[in-house]
Amino acid sequence: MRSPAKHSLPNHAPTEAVWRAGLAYQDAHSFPMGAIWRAHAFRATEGQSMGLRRANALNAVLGNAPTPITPGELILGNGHSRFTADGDHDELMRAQNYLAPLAGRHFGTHADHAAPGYSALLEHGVTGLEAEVRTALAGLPFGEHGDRRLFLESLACAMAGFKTYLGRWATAAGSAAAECPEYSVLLTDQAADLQELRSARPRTLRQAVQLVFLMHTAYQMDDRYAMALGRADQYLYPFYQADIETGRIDEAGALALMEHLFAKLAHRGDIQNVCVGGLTSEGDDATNDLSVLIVDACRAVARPGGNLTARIHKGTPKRFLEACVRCIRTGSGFPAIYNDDLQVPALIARGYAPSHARDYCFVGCIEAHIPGAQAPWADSRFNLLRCVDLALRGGIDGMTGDRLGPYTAVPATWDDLWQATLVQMRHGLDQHTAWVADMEQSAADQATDLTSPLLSVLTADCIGRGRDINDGGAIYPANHGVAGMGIGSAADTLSAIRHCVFDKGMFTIADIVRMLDSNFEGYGVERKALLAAPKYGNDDESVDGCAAALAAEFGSYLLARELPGGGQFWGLMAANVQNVSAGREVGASADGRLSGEPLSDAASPSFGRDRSGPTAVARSVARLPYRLAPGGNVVNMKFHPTAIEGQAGSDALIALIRTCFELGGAQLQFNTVGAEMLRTAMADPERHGDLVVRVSGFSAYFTRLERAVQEDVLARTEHYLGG
Amino acid sequence: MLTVSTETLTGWVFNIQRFSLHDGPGIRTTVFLKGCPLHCIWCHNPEGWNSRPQIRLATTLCAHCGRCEAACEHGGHTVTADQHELHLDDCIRCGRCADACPAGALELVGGSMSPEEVLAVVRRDLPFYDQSGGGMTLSGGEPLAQYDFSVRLLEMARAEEIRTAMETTAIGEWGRIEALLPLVDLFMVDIKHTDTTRHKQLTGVPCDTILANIRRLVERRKPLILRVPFVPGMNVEPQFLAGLQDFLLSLDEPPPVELMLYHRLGLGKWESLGGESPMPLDIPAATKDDAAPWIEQLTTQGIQVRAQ
Repeated sequence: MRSPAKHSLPNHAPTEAVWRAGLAYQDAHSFPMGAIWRAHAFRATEGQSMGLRRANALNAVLGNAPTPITPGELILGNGHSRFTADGDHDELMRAQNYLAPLAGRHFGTHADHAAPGYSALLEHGVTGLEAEVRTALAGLPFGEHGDRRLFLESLACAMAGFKTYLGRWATAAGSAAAECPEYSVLLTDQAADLQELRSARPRTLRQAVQLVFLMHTAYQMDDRYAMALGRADQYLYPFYQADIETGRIDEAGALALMEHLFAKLAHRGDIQNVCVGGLTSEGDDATNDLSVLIVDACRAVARPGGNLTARIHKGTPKRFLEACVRCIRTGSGFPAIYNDDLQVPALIARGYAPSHARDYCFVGCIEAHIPGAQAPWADSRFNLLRCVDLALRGGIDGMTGDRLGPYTAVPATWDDLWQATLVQMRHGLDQHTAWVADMEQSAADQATDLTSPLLSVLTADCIGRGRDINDGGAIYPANHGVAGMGIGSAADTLSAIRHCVFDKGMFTIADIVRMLDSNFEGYGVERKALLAAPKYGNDDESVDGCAAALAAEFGSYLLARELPGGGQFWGLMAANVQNVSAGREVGASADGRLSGEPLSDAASPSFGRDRSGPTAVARSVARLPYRLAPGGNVVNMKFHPTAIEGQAGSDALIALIRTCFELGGAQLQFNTVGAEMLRTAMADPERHGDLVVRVSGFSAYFTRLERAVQEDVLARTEHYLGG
Repeated sequence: MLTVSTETLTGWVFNIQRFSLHDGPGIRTTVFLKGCPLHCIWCHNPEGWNSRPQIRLATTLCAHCGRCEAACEHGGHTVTADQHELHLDDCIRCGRCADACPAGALELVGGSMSPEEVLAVVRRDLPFYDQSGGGMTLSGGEPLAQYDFSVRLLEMARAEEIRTAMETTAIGEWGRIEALLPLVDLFMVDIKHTDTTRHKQLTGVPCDTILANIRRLVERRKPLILRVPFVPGMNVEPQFLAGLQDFLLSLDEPPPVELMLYHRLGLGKWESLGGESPMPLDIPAATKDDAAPWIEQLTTQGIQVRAQ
């Protein structure tokens, strides 16, 4: 057989094959064997410090996990945390019972949703970090055997386990090389890379990506979700640059590597944020060639998993935005676009050092985080529309008849209604934050037990301080985000009542409550009047002002409280589809929404109520006080793909983004209108009243078109999307 | 300087569409004015023909409750469990049926607006125009049909440094168009046929004035895009292609040409306005492939042409 190509790049398997192999592996491995391994490790270490026991438990998983390799994949590793096809179910139950009281942190108590310090990992390598831990241990006062020593020992143990894990993958790659002539050169190189990474800092881009990805999978095997890769284009760039200069890699090779990374991330049904672009910590433009390549890779792979976020600022080069638009046009929804010119000052205003604020990234979907310097994020949801409903009913829940809020009188004026809404909201937030603080306090009380050794290694300044990431080790403590759900629905409801009751005198509050209680049954014309009142998302100052004022009250009320761990409560205007379940908690509302229907999503206008086009949406959403909700914000916009095709479409979308951000917008993400959405709109026209069909010199709302014409648009859409 | 002064001047507007991307460069706001002297068989904006408001029914939204029938004193609606017939010959455009409709299926298309009211909407997207090189586009209907109103809108936009474009048939006295030259940054003029008999068959009016006005616009070196509706079964015929080529080549500098591919999206509008489509319903939408021979032939003659 002819020997394969001499260079390990770009001879590689197709991305699709890598993705499929990962999926097949996942399908074939559904037994959570890790629990049994962990229980075994915990049992073997009874009597030792919890930190050490936790490190050993993870090491047991890293030491036993299968090391499946798809020959030809450029990055090895697998984050799937179920390891065998089947196993002993009785033993599993015993293990789970044994582990229950030993459980670590969970999302609510800051277990995951963090971006580890991958720049430090690449800069120091595994051995460098080990040396740091050793130095810190040596620096402890003579004879100190307290928490700090125990903690640092657990870090050393965790790093040793990770090194073993690297070695196991090196061995697996070596064996695979012997068995696969087609890719034996690549696999031999990969085995050598992994061996080298055990004892030296990475030198090449492939080594760097490999090291980061294996560490990422180690966190996933520790049952952490939504772990972020952070600013990959920044920490990988020096390696890319060196490879390009020495000719080790070309642009196509680097793109292939990034594509394989995204194919790997797509294996797990887990959100793993990757952030590109933005500012450097010194405040210069950080966009580089790799930023563009990563966006292109995300576009090529086109599978969810790697959750791409693009940071942009006034000086962001157009070619980067053009790459973003190319990716957006595929309909993947990526990248989400974030406004640095707003987010960075918002973080600085919250006490973050400018250099750290400029280095922010996202964890989970859209939660702002300082990579490698902050404890993991947690968040919860708060229903804003319910506050308005309680204000109409003196604190009684319309759905259940239970008293949920304090008594407030039936509003006789607009100001009464507004004040009562605020009273109900503050009361709700008091209860909500007290519940969160209780949970946080009980975790804080056990902080030396609930440690995260491997994550602490990559978080400044856990090693220097000798403290866990959640116990004062991280430079920035964890924040708790409270997602204010239904800001659009709440503003629309307030605005409809102001318009129809207090301004026009069409109805009384009692009329309104009757309509709501009957879910508008028999009140079709009245409902139409309420629907015709100004709605958020149409560039109408009165209702947008209402949304902005409510968001400001919400955000600042939260910012005024502190968490037991020293972190902050941050408002977010985000929902992560929870607006659907939150909608089920609230009966019909005066914005015309029927009982149980979803609330408006995140900071976006209510479904179908933005009838004035994208520029109006941009102006409306830009009016919200995002600086008071620094946790993260989402605005969803949708376009028919034909609307943004070609250079003109790309230019227009870029102009829309830039202008929205100049006006004060925080975030934009884009869905393309697909055939499925059009079918839904045909079945449910009311919630899709915003869909516009734009053809030169012609425009019409999709839901108002004749059925045959709708079918025609549908066919064109399917044709365009190749579906 | 041309001035139209009357404080009471108003126009009939049937839509103001923000974020228009196909009616001139950049992000634009397109103002659709009612009333058109041409009645093209394939027209996709038939609500632009009549200069006054009209009742329009979205049949897909109609709940067949019959309230419109009860509200109308002129017998405009007959509603049964599965039918909603419009009889709008005696319609006085009072809009009571639309007010009574709980489903929002009926609407009064077109409203009277002052120039200031229109500009208040146009002005809202100023930062988007600045960022994208966009501006205001007058369309219709035929903006020349509401000449004074159009002039006033253009003057106001010009005074506020908003770039302007006009989609027009260029029909009418040259003097009226000439007066607009300082106010319009870009003209987009339709050529629907070059044979005046055929033009009259297809649009109801001859094309001599239109072609002459286009010739003058070219002579005045006014930024101009010629738009050619490409409608199979109507004007897609060798005679027109030849005539179009001859006409373009007879110009000093032929302006860029956009072939506007026929689409069927406007067909349902006729019925929704209580009428019947003059366009046969079985003519399929035109594709870029259909237009390829035209593009090829015109391109060979050195004419800049594309289809959209």
